[in-house]
Amino acid sequence: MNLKCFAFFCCLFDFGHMFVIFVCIDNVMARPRKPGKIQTPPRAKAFMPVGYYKSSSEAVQLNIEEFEVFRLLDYEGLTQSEAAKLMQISRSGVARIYEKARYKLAKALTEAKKIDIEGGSNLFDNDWYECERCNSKFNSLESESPGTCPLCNSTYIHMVNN
Amino acid sequence: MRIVIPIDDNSLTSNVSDTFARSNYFALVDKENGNLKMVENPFKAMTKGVGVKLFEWLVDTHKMNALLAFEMGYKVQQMASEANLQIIIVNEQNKTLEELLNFMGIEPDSKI
Ligand SMILES: [Zn+2]
Repeated sequence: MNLKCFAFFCCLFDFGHMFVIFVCIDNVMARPRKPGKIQTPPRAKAFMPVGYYKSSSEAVQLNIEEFEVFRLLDYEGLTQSEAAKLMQISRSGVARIYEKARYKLAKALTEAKKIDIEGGSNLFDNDWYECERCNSKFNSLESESPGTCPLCNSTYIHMVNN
Repeated sequence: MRIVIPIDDNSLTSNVSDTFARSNYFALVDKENGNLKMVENPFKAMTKGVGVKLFEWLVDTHKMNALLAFEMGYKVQQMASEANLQIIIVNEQNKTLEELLNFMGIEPDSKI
C-alpha cells in the first residue's frame, strides 16, 4: 500500500521513473500469497464425466482454495467481502480466485473433463482427519493427532491433506 | 464426549438431517454413559440469528461439546470452530440415528 502511494506521488512529479516504479510494484504483487483459510475439506476428491471418456486422462485441477471460494460465493451466497473475511485473504484475492474457479469449472463441464480437487495441508481452520471405518471426517482440537475416531473409536484414521 | 446430532424426527430410525440449524429435532448423546435424549429444535422457525441462539442452547444449557452432521452451513462451522467443538461430518446421507449409535457402541433399545 505504501509503495503504491509512493509510486503515485512520484508519478505526479516525475514521469521518467514511472516504469521503474511499476516494475517494483509488480515484484511486490508477485510475492507468494498467504493461502486462504478453508472451513472443511471438500467431500469428494474428484468428479468424473459420464458418457464421454475421450479426454478422461486430462483433468482440470481445481485447487482447494478455488473450490472454497466457489462454494462460499455461489453455494453459501456470501459476498466477496464476506468470503474474504472468512478466509482471511483480501477481497481482490477472492475475486481473482473466483474467476479462475469459474473458468476451470466451465472448461470441465464444456469439454467433459474430469475435475481433480487438489489438496493442500495447513489450509484448514483445524487439522482434519478421516476415519477408515465409518468414513466420517472430523477436526482435531489439539495440535497432535487425535488417535481415534470420535464417532466409532477406530484407530484407523488418516489426516486429510490431499 | 457429548455429541449433538440433527435428526428429521424423534425416532431411532430417523435420518440425520440435511441441515443443522434448521433440523426438526436434535439427538443429544452422551457417548460415555450412553444416555440419549431427543429434543425438538426450539429455534427452527426463527428467521434470523438462529445460529447464535442455537449454540448458546447446545453448549451452555446442554453442555454439548461435539457436533455431528451431514451438512453444516459455514456459519455453524465457524461458530463450532470458535467454540472449539469437535465437528464430525458423516459421509453418507442416509445414515440413521440408530446406525450412528451403533458406531458409538451404544445399545439404543435399553436407553429409551
Ligand atoms: Zn470412525
